[in-house]
This record gives sequence, structure tokens and C-alpha cells, in this order.
Amino acid sequence: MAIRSLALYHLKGGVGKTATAVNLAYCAVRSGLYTLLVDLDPQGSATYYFRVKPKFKKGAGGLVRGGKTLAHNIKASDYTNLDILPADFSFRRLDRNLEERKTPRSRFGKVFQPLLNEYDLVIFDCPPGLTTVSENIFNLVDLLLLPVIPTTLSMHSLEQILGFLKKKKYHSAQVSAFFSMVERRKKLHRAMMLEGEKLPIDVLSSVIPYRSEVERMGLERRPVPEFAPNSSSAHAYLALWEELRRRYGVEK
Amino acid sequence: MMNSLSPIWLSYPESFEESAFLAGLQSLFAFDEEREHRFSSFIFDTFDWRIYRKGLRLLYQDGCLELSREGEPLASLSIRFAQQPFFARDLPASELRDRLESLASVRALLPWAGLAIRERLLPILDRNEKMVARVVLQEIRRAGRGRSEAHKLVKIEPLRGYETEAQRLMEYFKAGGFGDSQRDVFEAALEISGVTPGGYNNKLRVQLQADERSDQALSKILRFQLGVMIANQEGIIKDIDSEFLHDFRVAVRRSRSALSLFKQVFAPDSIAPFGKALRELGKQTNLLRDLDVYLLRQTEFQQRVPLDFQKGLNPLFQRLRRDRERAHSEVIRLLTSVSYQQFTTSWRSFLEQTPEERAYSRDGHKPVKKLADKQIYRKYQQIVKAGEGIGRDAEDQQLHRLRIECKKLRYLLEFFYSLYPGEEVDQIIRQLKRLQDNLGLFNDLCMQIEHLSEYGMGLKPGKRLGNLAILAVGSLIGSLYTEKQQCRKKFSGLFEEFRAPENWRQFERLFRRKKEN
Repeated sequence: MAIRSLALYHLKGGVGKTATAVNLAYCAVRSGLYTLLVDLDPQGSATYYFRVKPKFKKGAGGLVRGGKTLAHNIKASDYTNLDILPADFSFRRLDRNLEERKTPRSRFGKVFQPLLNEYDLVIFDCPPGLTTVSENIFNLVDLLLLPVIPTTLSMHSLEQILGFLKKKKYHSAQVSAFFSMVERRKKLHRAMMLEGEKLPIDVLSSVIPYRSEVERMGLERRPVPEFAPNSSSAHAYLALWEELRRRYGVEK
Repeated sequence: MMNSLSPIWLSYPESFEESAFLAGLQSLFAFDEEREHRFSSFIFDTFDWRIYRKGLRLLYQDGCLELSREGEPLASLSIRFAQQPFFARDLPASELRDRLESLASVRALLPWAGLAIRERLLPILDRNEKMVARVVLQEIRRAGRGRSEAHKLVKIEPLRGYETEAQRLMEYFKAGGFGDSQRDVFEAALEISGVTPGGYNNKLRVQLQADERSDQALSKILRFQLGVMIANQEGIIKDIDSEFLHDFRVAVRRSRSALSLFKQVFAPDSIAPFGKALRELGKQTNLLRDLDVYLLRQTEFQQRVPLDFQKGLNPLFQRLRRDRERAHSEVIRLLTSVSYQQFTTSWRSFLEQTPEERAYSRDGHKPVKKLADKQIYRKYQQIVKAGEGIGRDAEDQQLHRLRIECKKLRYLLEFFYSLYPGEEVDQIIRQLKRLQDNLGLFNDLCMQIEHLSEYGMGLKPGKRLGNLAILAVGSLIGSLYTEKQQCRKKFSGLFEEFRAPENWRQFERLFRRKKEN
């Protein structure tokens, strides 16, 4: 039952996927788990936040071919027990490389299996859109975590994703959503969060507020609890992590 | 799962100028702010180094107690510790506790070496201000008051994916005169504290020569046993764990056995007072040992009794604990007494005498192997004969006597181990041990039943706790009695194995002396 892999995913960009992936990874190692953050987005934001060079030896082709290439590309972050698999610009060709395979939508299973065995937890930061990469992720991870901004369009997008997952009967064990970039002052946000209770999936009770600290991550290039440990964002990410841990049994 | 990139340990060069070196380092690599970190570190192990002997290490460092093998952690626990003995059972439930309980059993884990460590952490950065390695400058000092000499080490911690940077750092340090150091905190700690791991070993077999004089050989053996007694004194007085007294008594028993099996090796008049003193030591420590054994068995005894009656054992154990405290005070008095000090001094002097200084004895000059062969063979014959006389209806007393004879044989085989081919003696000892375990268990059970019966007879029924106590003791005796009978049944099979033809042929081959011309 214990979760060993999770992915931050959404159709749209700018919903807080990467910030959440980075901060959850940080919380995970602080609670004792040997963790790997995999950046699949050619923009390489997660890679950037950890100050790692956006270079993946052998590029998208190498990733899809698998084998030792992945292990050779892992970089330790500045934080003990947290490693990063960086993305680079060649990842824009990941879909094309995957389509050349016999089983294009489940290739990641083979490619990432050794790393899933080695680490206590692997967190995937996914690129936006509904692509072959996304489908590989749906087939691979134990938990799909969807950040949702509490606006009409965002919720609509969420329903589209859920519809797609249901239709294709994806293997992914759990699907869960949480509200991200929340501004409680806004009546719309409050109303949408109530609507959220009607969703057919688990909606976590922890909520990530819209805060400037999170935007500052780009300047600081460190996880929020490192430069603003007492901020409400730091507390929010920690609460999200704790809720995930309790609910889905993430452990060594 | 831990980072598999192992740290590189380096030792400082003879002459070292820190500011110049660091300035040089700074021109090649960027660093981030230096951070200082101070913490204590202790090495724990039992008095007899059970953990070290298994190739493991138990190190407490900076809030973490960790058991490791060759640098790989096996189990660890976050915990705040002080430099004092502890028992595995006192740790919170964890894998570490389980492993330590099976390694250390009833022995306490002692802090063999304590260090005060000051670390200066230098994060090494690349042009993106990404950390690519960590350099740790370690100053290791003995823990305690006063400033002692610091032992300095440098540790380069590589980060995954940045192996070339770590390599370059290492090359820079080596070019600056730093050398490889195999040492890590564990070894540095022991060296600074002057401790030799595995230094105490009460099972050591003294090396003897076949043609050595018996009095010299026996002196060696007895000096070793005296050493064991003295080594354990402090642990008994400080009451660290029950095994200090046990090892002490075993050394006393072995000494007495040696003297009684070889009565003519030393002049009887000269040896008599020492034999007497040893006998007294055995006698005066009997009670404390018995009580220790009971208290060690407390949980086991409680589990043999039906749940409803278990409370009835409480008065018994309360009394045993009180008696134990009293007995322990008596033993402290004994070991700190002037007469005991005089005994150890004069016994050592006696055992250090040269043959010229000794009084005449009948057998002292004889080659030790000759006497050893004879005694071992004779003892074997005695055991076989006694064992054959133990039928199904034999009295318990016969088994107790046999147990004592077996013990003597065992001591003989251990004393003179170096005179015979090791593998063959090992085999004999293995066989003998199986028989001894059975006889030992039988004896324990008989003694326990006897003591408990005596206690039970003294209880007064009528008061509620009185009734409960009677029921509890009664059911405990019942459980022990059943086990006693099972143990008894196994005896004849084990004895047959012991005296089987392959075994007595071996005894003949190894120990029977051919008639000399």
C-alpha cells in the first residue's frame, strides 16, 4: 500500500506544479526519505530551482532508451538525501522518441524501474498538456497529484483530465487533487473550494496559498522552507506533505 | 538507503598553514559560508567487545546512535545520549534495539571512548552557486574537562553527479601535502582514548609447550585467570551488569579446578592458603549470583504463570530485589577489603615465582603434556563410568555430580588446548558442550524448584495476596517441573552420543599415553 512514486500533473501550466514538487521533495527528505525529483519539463524549472545545470547526457533519446543513462545523470541537490534528475531542452522531443517505441505509453515503466527500486520516493514534475509523456506517467506512478487553482476554468480542466483518465482506464493507483495558489479573500476561490467537495476524487484538505515567497523561489533558488521557514507557505507545504504521508502511507 | 559515494578521509601534512591553503583553495573553487558544528561522539560496546568481534560498530554521534558494518549503516536511531552505560532493552522499540538485544543480550553497552568533535563545514560551489562537494575540517578531542590534543582530519564528501569535482578537490589537497587516512572517527576515538578494541577476552587460551614444566604452565593459566578476576572487579562494584560477577566467578572456579586436578604441581603447604582463599571467594559470591540469575529470569517466570496469578509473583521478586541489594553490598565490601587486596597481590607474586624460588613439589618439574594427557583421559573415563550408572531411576544428585565432572573435563580441554590439534579438540568440546548444556539446565531447574518450594512453604494462606502468591509459585513450580522431566529424558540420548565409539577412539588417540620404555 505504501506510495513510492508520485507525479505533479495538470493540463495547464502555471498552477503550481513545480513549486509543489520542489517543496514536497524537500519535506520528504526532512522526514527521512531518500528522494529523487525527476524534472520532465523541457523548461527545466525544477532543475533551475535546485541550481543544477540543465543538461541531460544523451538527451531525450537517451532517457527513452533507458539503462544506465538515467543513473549517470542524477545530481545530488544541496540537501542530503535529495537527488535531482535534471531536464534539458532536448526533452521537447520526448514524445517523438516515445512514439518510436513498441509500447510508447508504458515505456517509462521500464526506464524508471531501477530508480523506483533505489529511492524511497520518486517525485515527477510533469510538463503541461496531455501528451505521450503524460500517459506514461499515468501508467507509472502510485499517486497522481493534481494542483487546482480554485477558478472555473481550472476546475473545468480538472474535469477534462478526470474524464480522460476514466475513459482510458489508466493504471495509476490513486488520483488526488489539492487547491493551489489560493487567495481566500476572493469569493470565487472560496466558492470553488466548496464545489471541490463534490468531485469524484480525493481532495486534500491542505491548501497552498498564493504567496510571494513561492515566487521568490526563482530568485532564491532554494526550497521555501530553506529561506522562509516561518512563512505560511512553508507551513502549508509541510501540512500538505504530512497529509499525503498519513493518507497514502509514504514511508521508507 | 544511503548515498553510496563514500567520503574521502585525509590527514593533515606535518606543517600546515591554514590561511594560505584556504586562499589557494578559494582561487580554484568558490565556497559558501563556513559553518561550525560541535557535537559529542561515543563508541559503545559490551565489556567483552561483542559488537566489535562481529565486525560491527556502534557509534553515537550528534544525536544519532548507529550500528554499522564497514561504513555501511545497518540500523540507527535519533536519540539524545550521555556518556554512560545503557542496556539495549532501554532503547525505544526499533530495529536497532532488536539487533542490539541479540548482540549484547544481558550485557550493558559501555562508552569506551568519548570524543568532543568540532567540525568546520565548507560547502564548495560551482559558478551557479550549486554545491558540488562538502569539505569538513574535523578536530577530534577526548571528551571531558580540560583541553586535550586535537586529532585533525579532513573529510571530502562527494555529491552524486559531481564526482569529478570531488576528485579535483582531493588532488588539490594531496598536492598541498595531505595524505590518505584510513582512519575514521571510530579509530581516531580509540586511539585518542588509548583503548584496544577486543582487549578483554576471558576465553583466551594460554599458549603452552608440551615439554614445559607443569608448574610454569599452570602458573601461566592461573595468572590469566587472576587477570580476568581483576579486570571484572570494577564492573562488579559499580554494578554495571550481571556478567562481570559471572566472569569473575568462572575465573575463580577455573582456578580452583586447576589446583584440585593437579594437587602435586605446587607444594601442597605453599598452595593451601590460596586454595582456601579462592574457595572463600566462590562461597561469598554465591548468593549474589543466584539472586542475579533469578532477577534475570523474572520476565520468563512471569510468563510461565497463568495471567490471573502473575501478580502473585510480585512479593517474591520484591523480596529478591531487596536481598540482592544486600548481597551486592556484601560483595562490594569483600572486593574492597584489605584481605582481598592482599590475596590478589600475594597470589600474583606466588605465580610469578621462578622454579628456583619455589618449594619442592612432586610434579612441578614434569612436562605439562604428560600430566595433561593423564588427567584428561582419566576424567573422560570417570565421566563415562558415572554416566553409565545413571539409569532411568537415578537420583538427581548423580546428575549433579556428573555435571561437575564434565565441567572439570571442559576446563582441562580449555587449559591445554594449545597442546593438541585444534580441530579435533573443538569437536570434542562441541560434544561435551551438548551434554553440559543438558546437565546445566537440569541443575538450574532443580535448584529453582527447590528454592521456590522453600519460599512457597513459608507463605501464609488466607490473605488475598497470600493465596495469589501460593497459586503463582505453585504454577511456576509446576511449569519448571515439566521442563525438568523433559530435560531428564533427553539425557541418555546425549550421553550415548558423547560416549559413542568415534568419541572414545578420539580420546584414546589424543590422550592415552603409550607405555614408555
